[in-house]
Amino acid sequence: MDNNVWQKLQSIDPRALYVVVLVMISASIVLPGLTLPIIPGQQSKDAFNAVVKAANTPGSKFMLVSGWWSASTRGENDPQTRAILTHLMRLHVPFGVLSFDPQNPQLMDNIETSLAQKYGYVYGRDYINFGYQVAPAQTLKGIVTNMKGTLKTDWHSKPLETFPVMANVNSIKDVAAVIDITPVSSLDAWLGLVVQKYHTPFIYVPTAVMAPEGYPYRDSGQVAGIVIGVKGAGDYETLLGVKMQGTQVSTALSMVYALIILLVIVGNIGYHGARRAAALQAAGEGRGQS
Amino acid sequence: MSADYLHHLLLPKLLLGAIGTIAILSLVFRENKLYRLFEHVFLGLATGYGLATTWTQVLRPKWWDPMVGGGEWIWILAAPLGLMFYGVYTKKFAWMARLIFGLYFGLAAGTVFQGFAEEYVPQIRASFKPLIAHGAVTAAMAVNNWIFVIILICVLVYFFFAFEQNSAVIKRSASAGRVMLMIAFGAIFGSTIMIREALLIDRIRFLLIEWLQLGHIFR
Amino acid sequence: MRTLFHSIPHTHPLYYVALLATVAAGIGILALLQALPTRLRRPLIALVTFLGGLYYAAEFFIPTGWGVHKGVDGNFLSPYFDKVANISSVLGSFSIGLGVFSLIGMHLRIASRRRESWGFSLMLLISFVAMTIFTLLNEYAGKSVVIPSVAGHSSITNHDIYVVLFNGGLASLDSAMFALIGFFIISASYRAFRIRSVEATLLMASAIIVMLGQVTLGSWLTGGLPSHGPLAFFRFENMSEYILVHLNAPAQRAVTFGLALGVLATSLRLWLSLERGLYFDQE
Repeated sequence: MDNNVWQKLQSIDPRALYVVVLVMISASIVLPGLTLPIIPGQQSKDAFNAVVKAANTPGSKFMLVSGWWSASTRGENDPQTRAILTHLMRLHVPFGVLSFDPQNPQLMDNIETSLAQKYGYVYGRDYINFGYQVAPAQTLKGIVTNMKGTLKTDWHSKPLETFPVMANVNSIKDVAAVIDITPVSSLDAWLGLVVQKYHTPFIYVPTAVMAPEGYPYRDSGQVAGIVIGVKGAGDYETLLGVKMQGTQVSTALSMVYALIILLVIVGNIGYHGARRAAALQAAGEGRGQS
Repeated sequence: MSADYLHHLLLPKLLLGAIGTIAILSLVFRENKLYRLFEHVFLGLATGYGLATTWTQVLRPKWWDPMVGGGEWIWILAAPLGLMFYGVYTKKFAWMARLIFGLYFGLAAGTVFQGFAEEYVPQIRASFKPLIAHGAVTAAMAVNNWIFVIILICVLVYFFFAFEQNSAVIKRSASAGRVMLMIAFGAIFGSTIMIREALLIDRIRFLLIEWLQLGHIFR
Repeated sequence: MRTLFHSIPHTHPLYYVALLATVAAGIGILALLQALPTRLRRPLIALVTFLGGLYYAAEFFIPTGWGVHKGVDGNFLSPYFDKVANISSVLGSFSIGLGVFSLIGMHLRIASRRRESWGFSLMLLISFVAMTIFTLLNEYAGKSVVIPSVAGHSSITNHDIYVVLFNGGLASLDSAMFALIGFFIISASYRAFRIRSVEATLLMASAIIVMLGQVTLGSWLTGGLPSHGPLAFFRFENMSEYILVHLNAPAQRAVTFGLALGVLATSLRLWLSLERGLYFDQE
């Protein structure tokens, strides 16, 4: 094959690729019927079961949902949060949202408010938003012994003592499970400073890029389950029997992955073809000279 | 195009989001002024939001209200101490900023000591896996445990820089560790792609479903 | 000490006396620090760094039960975690101005001197002011009307404008910025991922298996295989899970051990001010 062909295979205009990916994503989102069934992974099932188990243990059912995400990772963390909070509300579990990013309280509130209307949850009675916390490590260490003293107010500066949902929640001992929804490396902080003291079940809900680092902790039992990225959100929705954003984007994700794998193969065919052609040409020239 | 649909398209929240998204994504085709405009707008919004939120959700409930409403006068000391950060802007007082940064370095180091044992001792304990099939440990589990332990040791050996890796056993273990790391990095790379594409898909979904409501047309 | 820092009702004149005295003391401390001989500055910074870490380190090493009643968790330092957290949060929040001043100062100069692209800097300043004002107004006067209702249209409140700025502006733009990377990953996959060695082949193979195991396409491709039995292993989702749990996890753990020791050593060096470099060697 002509060397030009190999070079052409390696030099498709990236803008053409961008148009192709836009068309593929748009088609898979807009057109009905382009859906493949979701098979929930083992990690998502373990996380789901861990939440159910924590909700059924005797004593306080209050769960702490920690959010480190902002709109920059909304594509993954938003569907994960919706799935998790849907589950908590279905289980009638009271929960508090702790944020470590300035945008997170408002983003969480958008989700809480829309779901609360559906499940009859009332702010202050069934759930609470503690707001943005600076100094995460010190704050997490503080909530181990004195949650109200550390957090003091909700995100609108109202004292925590005035909320019925916080009546019997004083420290991490009164928390049935911690669910950490994060795009950053927050495992160290939670596992090292908080949950190990009273072996509070910890469910890790990271973006996909942070997920591989959670597996050693899953192996040691420090993490009860991992909900990995938007795929995990889709799994969780399947386990809940609902179809939300996680399910809607799964087909689009499949198509983009197929395109990426195809491009890697095409690029490598072009690369190795060009190398082989160059080697043959050099060998031919060498024979010609001799 | 119905009046309701037009009204929906022109809702300020959605319209601003849509124009902003298209402006930012237009960068992939060509650098342009619309992108730069919205890039600057984003920076301004983010900075303003961070500043306002720090007051409403941190300083006001934890400093101002206890100091003014709660009578805790000692909190006023936070103001001159907090001002030390701004010493970086002057040559004369720059060293004071290092004083307060030093305090935070110390606090961070302290929390590392607090968390180290709780986080890593279970990891060490979990590395000692049963290697012989017996009782509850099936043959398949024992094989997997052998694989786990061998990979763990090989990768640890690869990172031993404290002594020269002269012995053949050490060299081969380190090479095997390097190979295993490639597999782990491949898994990380595969996961990285998911998040990046999910963010893109989310924006396209916003434009097509939330703004243009195209999903309704085809269902 | 508890009596000394006891709170005083703000209606009492003594409150203002205490407030002013503390401000004066604070300024006095700063003046005293500035008056210190230069050679004492580095030792003072080292001392403050050490004291900063001493609380958590001491609380960790002092045995449980010291200085507390029987049955109480922790030692005599443990009850102060919340106070240390609050002090750290408040002091740390004062540093927000550092980034704000730098960014706003730079763009103010560009806009006021009409330098190149000053229009963009002006827009940055306008959005900064708008977001700051409406976030504060949303918190303290959210329902106040900004634009009264006109010709059948409902009135516009501070909250409405805040929602447009946050959801329509900040959140959308933030998401879009990071969504750009999705495009670049595609072109990078095509142009840069060349399989030139055995390691690269392993990396790509592992990546492709994990990728296909994460999406419905992978389940569909190997959907014909049974879901139980020895052949079930070759379903993409099972192969992906195997790689992540049995191959990736031990490698990650080994890396974590190395990182943990490094972090511990660096923390110790920071705490004891043994670090050297451009920042730490400044006078």
